[in-house]
Amino acid sequence: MGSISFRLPSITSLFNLPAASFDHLTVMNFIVSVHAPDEPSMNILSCGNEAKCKLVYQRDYTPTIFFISPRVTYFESLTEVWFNPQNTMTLIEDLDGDELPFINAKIGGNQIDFEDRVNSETVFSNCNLNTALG
Amino acid sequence: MFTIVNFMIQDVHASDPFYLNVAKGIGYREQELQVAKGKKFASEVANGVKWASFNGGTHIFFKSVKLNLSPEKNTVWVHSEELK
Repeated sequence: MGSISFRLPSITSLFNLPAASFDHLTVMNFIVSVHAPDEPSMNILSCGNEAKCKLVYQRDYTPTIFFISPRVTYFESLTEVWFNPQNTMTLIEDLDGDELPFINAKIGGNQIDFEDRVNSETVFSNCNLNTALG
Repeated sequence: MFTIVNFMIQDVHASDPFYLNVAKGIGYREQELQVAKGKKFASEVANGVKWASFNGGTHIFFKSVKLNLSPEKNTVWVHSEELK
């Protein structure tokens, strides 16, 4: 039994369509299979139990950044981020002391790091505007 | 390790002989680069992925026998249930 790992693309990348094309959808369900060509066969590997290969994108679990201050980021700059974590905080429980509710935010090509100012006891409110300094 | 993600637009029937129902499933990958994990993501169990962000970025795994030994030759297909 082997496994392959990968990072999920955004819905817009997956379909190569603008985000507005999916505004009417709050949930998108997919069944994942893998095409594993192996001479002489052309196997498509799928689950006998479809539920185990089900992938669910949920807008309710899609954190959104609304604005940042200052409006530009640069190396070692301090940036305050206003964001709505949606319901993701309900998924994060029983963190160890060295674990964080989130680590960084990607804005454009830049990554804002929160490791110095967010810890395992930092609380953010679901479905509300929160701020974090990174 | 990374694979190409394609959207399969054609309808493929379950009885298609190419399909092998041998996969164990997908699950959240325990992420060495993502410190935040908590109880829900503490183990790699292939029970499906119920919470993925529309913005992507979730690290997952696909577990099965008969995967090609060259990771790049395994192509991940995601078949939409809403957009058939």
